[in-house]
Amino acid sequence: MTNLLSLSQGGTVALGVIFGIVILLELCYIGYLCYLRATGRKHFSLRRERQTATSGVETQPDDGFALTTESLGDTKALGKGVMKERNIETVKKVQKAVKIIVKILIYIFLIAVAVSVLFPFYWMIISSLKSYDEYALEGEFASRVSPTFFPQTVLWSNYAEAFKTANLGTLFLNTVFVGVVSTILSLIITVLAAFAFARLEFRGKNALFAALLATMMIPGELFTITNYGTVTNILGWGNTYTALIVPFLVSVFYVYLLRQNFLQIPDELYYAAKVDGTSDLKYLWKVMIPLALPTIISITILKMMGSWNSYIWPRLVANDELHQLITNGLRDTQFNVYLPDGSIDQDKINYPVQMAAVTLVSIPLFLVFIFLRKYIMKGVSRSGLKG
Amino acid sequence: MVDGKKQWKAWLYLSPVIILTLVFTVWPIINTVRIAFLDDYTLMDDVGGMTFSVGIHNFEKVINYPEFLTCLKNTLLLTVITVPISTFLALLIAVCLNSIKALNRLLQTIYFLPYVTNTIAIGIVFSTMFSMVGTGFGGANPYVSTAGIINNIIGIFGIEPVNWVNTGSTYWANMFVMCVYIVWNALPFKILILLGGLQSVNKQYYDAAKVDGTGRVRTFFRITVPMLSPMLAYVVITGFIGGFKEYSSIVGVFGEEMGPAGNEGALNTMVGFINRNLMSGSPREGIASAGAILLFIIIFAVTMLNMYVSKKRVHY
Amino acid sequence: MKKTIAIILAVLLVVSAIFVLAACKPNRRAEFVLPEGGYDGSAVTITFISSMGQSYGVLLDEFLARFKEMYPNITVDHQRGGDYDSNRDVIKTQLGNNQAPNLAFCYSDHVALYNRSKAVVALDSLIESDIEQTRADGTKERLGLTDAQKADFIQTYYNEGKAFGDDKMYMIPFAKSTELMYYNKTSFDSWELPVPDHWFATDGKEGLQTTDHTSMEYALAFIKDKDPNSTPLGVDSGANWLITLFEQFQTGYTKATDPHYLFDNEANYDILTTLRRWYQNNWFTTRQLLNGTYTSTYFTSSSSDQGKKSYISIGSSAGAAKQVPAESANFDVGVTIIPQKEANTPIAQSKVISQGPSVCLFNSDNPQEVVASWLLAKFLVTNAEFEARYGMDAGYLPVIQSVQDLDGYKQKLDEADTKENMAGMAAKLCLEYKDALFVSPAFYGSSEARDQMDVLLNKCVIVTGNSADAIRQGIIAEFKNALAICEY
Repeated sequence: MTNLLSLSQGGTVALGVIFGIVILLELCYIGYLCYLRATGRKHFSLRRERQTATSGVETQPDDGFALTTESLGDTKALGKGVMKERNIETVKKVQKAVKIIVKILIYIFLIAVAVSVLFPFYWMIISSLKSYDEYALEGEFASRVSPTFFPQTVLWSNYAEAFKTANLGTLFLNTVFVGVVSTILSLIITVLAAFAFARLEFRGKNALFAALLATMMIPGELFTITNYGTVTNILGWGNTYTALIVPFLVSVFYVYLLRQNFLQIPDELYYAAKVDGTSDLKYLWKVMIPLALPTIISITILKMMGSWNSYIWPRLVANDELHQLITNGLRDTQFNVYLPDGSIDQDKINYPVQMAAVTLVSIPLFLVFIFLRKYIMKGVSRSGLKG
Repeated sequence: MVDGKKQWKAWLYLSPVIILTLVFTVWPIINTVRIAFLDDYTLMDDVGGMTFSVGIHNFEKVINYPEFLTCLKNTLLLTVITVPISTFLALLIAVCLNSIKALNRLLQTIYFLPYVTNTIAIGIVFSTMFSMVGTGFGGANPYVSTAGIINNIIGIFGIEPVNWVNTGSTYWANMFVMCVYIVWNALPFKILILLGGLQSVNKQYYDAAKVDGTGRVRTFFRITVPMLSPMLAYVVITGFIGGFKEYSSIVGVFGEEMGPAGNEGALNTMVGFINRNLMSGSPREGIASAGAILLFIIIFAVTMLNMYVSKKRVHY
Repeated sequence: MKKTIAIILAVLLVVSAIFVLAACKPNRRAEFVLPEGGYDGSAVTITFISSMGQSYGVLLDEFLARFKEMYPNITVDHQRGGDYDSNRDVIKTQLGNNQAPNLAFCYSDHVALYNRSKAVVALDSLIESDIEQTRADGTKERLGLTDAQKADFIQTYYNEGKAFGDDKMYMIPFAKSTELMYYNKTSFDSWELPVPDHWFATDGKEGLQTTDHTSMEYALAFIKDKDPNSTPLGVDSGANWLITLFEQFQTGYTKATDPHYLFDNEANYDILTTLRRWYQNNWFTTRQLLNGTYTSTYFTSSSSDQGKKSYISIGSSAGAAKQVPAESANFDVGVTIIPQKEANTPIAQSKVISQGPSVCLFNSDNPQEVVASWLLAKFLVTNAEFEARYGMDAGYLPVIQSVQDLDGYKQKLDEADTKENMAGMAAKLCLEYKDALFVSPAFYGSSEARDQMDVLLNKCVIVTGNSADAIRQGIIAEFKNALAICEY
């Protein structure tokens, strides 16, 4: 207790500030949701009244995002009165024009967003094709004020060099192996658990599920030290694929995702299957998995991505050349800049070649994503349905 | 109501998850708590045979860390700024996307791309985009030249180049870059969830609204938003959790110094603080564990409140 | 419900108890005892974590093969690690779980960290051992170091391994580098500007007013006056610069025993106040202030605009090759020792910081592994050919003086007088100034202090204020900050 009292003033102020801000935030948030709720209700109750009261409201312009006219009720009412006096033809024309303008605005907005989303990728790719001097604005480019938007000389050789120096072939194979095995095992475990949580009744289900969800809130960095000890000392898995695979088989997030999905499959199907004498596993395999396929595919891809991007753990448990994974390989590779005499410039990193390597590493994921886009999107979006 | 056989089966199905979670999640958590309550614990001392007394010294150290308030402020600011902005933007994009037919699939694909990228790698790209090259930042001489593409773009509109991420840049310029990057990063997931939600909203409501002649904006706030409220709640809750754990995006842009040269640590966050105590030349695992427990308590409290609010207020 | 929670808790307790028991092996490491007879020829596999990139790995592989011929039963598992910091984190985590490589590249900061776990082998018994080891070809070698071998090491490098407060030797130097000053000889000659050999003007006057023409103060003001677009001085490592200044002026930086941190004092505020003025005059920049661009790119640049040109560059001897100017910027490069406290300081009183990897050994249950690791470490660092070739490839400086007797190396040093042979010039200079080298103290927290020196310089030079007093207060505040973080 004396220890508690000795917390310095800074500490107490800090705690006060945390809780103050958190509470403030919460109040804002509660207020916002209350507002939503309130307005939502008002609308539904108003609807019926209005249905009988008004008839010619069709003429009101669909003014997209011109918030001002919407929020000012009086102006609108005024406008309505004026509208009624116009003939239907003009109104329809105006309506059409407004619709087209709104559409154009929507497209401009969406395309602008798309461009800003794509820009970093464009930058990554053109950077990967530049020479070092052009990238860093050194040497013959030293007098330039702005970077070049397109490489003056396209250096495809950066890609060949990236592949060679980083030994990407072996790294790809290792990563794909670890990715595939851990994905398959992880799927089996996740499906079984999600099935139990979604369909079976047992004591403590909710408590267990809540406990699992709570683990998602802890920063994973903390687990590393203890897990490293478990894996190497107690289990003796140092420098094996096992150590790369097993600790990450369970992801509470995937269990949660799939459970939400399973919950949407009507109970009737299950009872019908039970009446037919179908076993749980058979029902799972024949009915639930096919129905939840989009989610399962998206989990597959998320899991693969995880293997693709993991860094700290593989570096610790299996960093020998036999087991090295792609991110580690990339980080450990020195992309050298060569001096005119052919020797290596010690302190420069050849960023264009590094960018080429990053691009190469990203491509498989992009391809998988583009081919399976439909499933991933369906899967991820469905997870939110029964929040 | 519950028959014994099924109980047994459920536990069987759950056993892999339970065993793996116990070994690789629960045990580390227990160990973390143990370490957090051992005064001045460090792993090397432990191995070297030192014994530690039990107490809350580590927690005091965390709170008394000279930059603790900075870390906390940044974590909260980043969360408070980026969660509403990205949620609102995602909602706007999702609604727009839902209202068009042409290019729909292409745009959807593009919007989702940031989801499948490496945070740190793209962070480096952002940092080069915002950077400038020249001399005299913060000195008597003004900056002489700018290489970052963003400054070239705003230059087209006649805006003076801004020192975004380099030496002498202001805190809010740095914060702005971080917010842009975090929002960019957070959009895909949110768009996807909200788009999925929009597509599942019963068309009848819209038809009714059309018959009523309700305006677009009114429809949006009176039908779309309430109908989407479960998804919005989900997106906000996960956004808060992610926001409180913000770290790698800052490393991507500013490196492990967590700030521009001359203002190192200015953008440090709670997880950054924890990591610094785990991975440095003189690591202090006890303090890192205590920091993590404090962070967990904050996240837990906020999430519980979020859940409580959404349970009470969200329209199903 | 209550029952379930109770059951879950009980399961958790049991599982954790099992793990606690399993983890509670006796984990205190026993001190290494040299086995009688040294290495007994038994088959052992030793793990060696280096930071050598693939290009130097080839050289190492060649010498590992030679070692294998001498001791066929010793298998070396050479792991190419990442950079020094990530190696440190990996080894730390391994040590924390009673694992370790047998030998690894290290800095003294790292050893100060590893030493807490008592896992680093004190090398004294090995070094002093006079056991005769027989190699596969029948020749013999002494397990320890002969007196000639000990004397062959450059003493500062050798003594760094003992600087941990208990007089025991924990690491043996592998390759080193130091800070040198490169200057644009062509411009200096044409301006008839003397090469600065000390930092601050002795008459206390600023800029061109000073009559102390061999001071850095004058040189920078002079160059800025001649070429207003330039940034006269580029410094690659701000931390090294401050540590060197604090050592040269004896104003205090850190020491190996408690209290560790001595840098927060008036004399150092003065130094930083001067450096701030230099920076505000746009006289210098550092690599960190340029967001990681090596200042040598400014030094070698031909560009005369945008302030991307410098005339003096202070950088590592390991980076000598990159101080070679671009072909379009046709000028000669001079290289010399960095400026000192006073003009004409004799070599013995000069202070130049030294850095670079050493090798340390970790204890093992099998003492034969430790002896075998020692044999390998000794083979590499006392092998003049290896040291010379590694030094030439990587731009590092050999740690033994006998490399000078090798034909190729000696020739290289003798011929080194032009910019085409910058690495040779740097190496020659370093051998000449071997008595001026110093190392900063190593202790738990010394790497944090080093990081804070970088931060301190960056923060102090951009301090702003209305009056000289306000600026000084700003600088003092940064010192207090840095100290608070160091002492945290």
